Amino acid sequence: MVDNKNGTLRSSTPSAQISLKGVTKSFLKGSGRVEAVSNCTLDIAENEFLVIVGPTGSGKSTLLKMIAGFETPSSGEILVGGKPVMGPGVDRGMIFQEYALLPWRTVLQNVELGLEFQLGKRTPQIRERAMKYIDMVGLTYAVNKYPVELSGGMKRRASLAMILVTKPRILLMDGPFNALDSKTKLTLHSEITRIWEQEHNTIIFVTSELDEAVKLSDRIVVMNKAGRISKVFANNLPRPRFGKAALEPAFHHRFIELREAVMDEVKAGAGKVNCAADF
Amino acid sequence: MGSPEPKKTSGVGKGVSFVSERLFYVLGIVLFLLAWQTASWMKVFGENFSDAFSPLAALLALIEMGKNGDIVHHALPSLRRVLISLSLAVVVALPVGVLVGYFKRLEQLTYVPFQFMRMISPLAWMPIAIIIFGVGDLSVTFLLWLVAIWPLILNTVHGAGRVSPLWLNMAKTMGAKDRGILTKIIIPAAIPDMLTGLRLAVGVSWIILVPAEMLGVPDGLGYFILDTRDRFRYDELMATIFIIGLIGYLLDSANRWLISRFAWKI
Repeated sequence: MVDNKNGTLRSSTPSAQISLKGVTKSFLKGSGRVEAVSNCTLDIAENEFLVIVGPTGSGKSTLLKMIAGFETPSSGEILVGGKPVMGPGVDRGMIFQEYALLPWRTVLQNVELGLEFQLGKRTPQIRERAMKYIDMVGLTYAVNKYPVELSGGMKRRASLAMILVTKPRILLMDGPFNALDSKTKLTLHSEITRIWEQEHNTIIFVTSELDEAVKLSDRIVVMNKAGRISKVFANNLPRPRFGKAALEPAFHHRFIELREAVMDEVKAGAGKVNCAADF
Repeated sequence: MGSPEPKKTSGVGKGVSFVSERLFYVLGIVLFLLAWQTASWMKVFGENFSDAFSPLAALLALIEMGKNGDIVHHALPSLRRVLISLSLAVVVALPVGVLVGYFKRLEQLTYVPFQFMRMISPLAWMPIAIIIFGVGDLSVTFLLWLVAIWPLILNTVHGAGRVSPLWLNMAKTMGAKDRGILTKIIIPAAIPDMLTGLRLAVGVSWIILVPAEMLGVPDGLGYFILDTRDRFRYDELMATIFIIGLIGYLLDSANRWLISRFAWKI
């Protein structure tokens, strides 16, 4: 396992698709400033599956929003493909914690939306491509349903297809499977892994669930209460990590071992670590 | 997923409830006519004229007016005035509403003037309308426009303001331009509220139409009310009132249909 104190990693390599350089985001709160994200430096490689974990209020979502371009860092720099992030872009697809489906469009029409934006009009090709991605997330049977008719899991799948169809090189996922039942979650875990292997995109995935983190990631970044990267774990568990493979004792043992190590780090960072800025 | 479906009521029970649902609507109409007829019998409308005010007299007058063309001659100009003023109100109110709803500063800027203006009966503007447009169609259309525009604007503002920032962020990550955001996110998002605004606008336009048509136009249902009064034809007066109510009801039904057809639900 590679441990990196204070989130400082080896200097940026040419293959790195995303570089965070001393990224800090502070907000005015009362009489002082609070740093939601503090001096984060990290390189994320192309086609990497990076999972960010940490206690609530550790700045995970804020960091993701800055990479998406919805928020700008107070200091530091975010580079995507060597260029600084200047706002939202088609190269970075964001899947939100809440559902962003448009209630007046069916599943199919929702998935077509991004392509309509990009091509300016509806064409038969759009429908075809949308259907392909709807099939990929297993919603073919519900293409003509409206969001109000969908269950939580179906909405997640639809949101996923809606973003995937635009073929973003980078997928930013903010707790996308929160509050789903475990069966649906399990299905979506293998779906997202399969899609990632098929489409070769880079995924940054924020969650507070460690099982999920260990199951999905190439690396796990732990953030603490102070908004700092406290540790980066490399996850060398062999893939596939679902079904039969997960039942082997050796795999299971390593799985638990990594999860416990991450858990300890998260717990250590959940206490009163460098909270001076708060008060 | 997989939650059990609610038990379906049996076919017979459904049939009965279908009939009883309709039955009470019909019963309401019958009771309404009965109350009207009773009022006429009890001479509520005065010793001399109560017979002329009865539903039966109104029905006979209605048939006569249908035959001699009075209904068409007066209902068409009324409908024309309302529809023209409504169209003009929609053309102005929807863009204004979308802009004001979308830009917070614009909403703050217009809030007090709009809320202030909407509480003024358009009939209060009548003298000014006549100075500007003269007596006639143009003044009536202007007054109707003035009454229709506020519910349309304010509801559209509400609708456009309801656009979730999430949708806008998502659209931006999908590469949407301003035009796409407007036509594919903001306008569709505001449609249910626009339709509610339209329904309110139609309702108040139709109500204001009658007094507005008493201001010197040579035709229209409002004009005809005064005309029947001057000719002491109270049966025709009641028939005209009935037509005003009927057309208003049909216009509102059309709006409800539009809402059920085009308003998305959350």
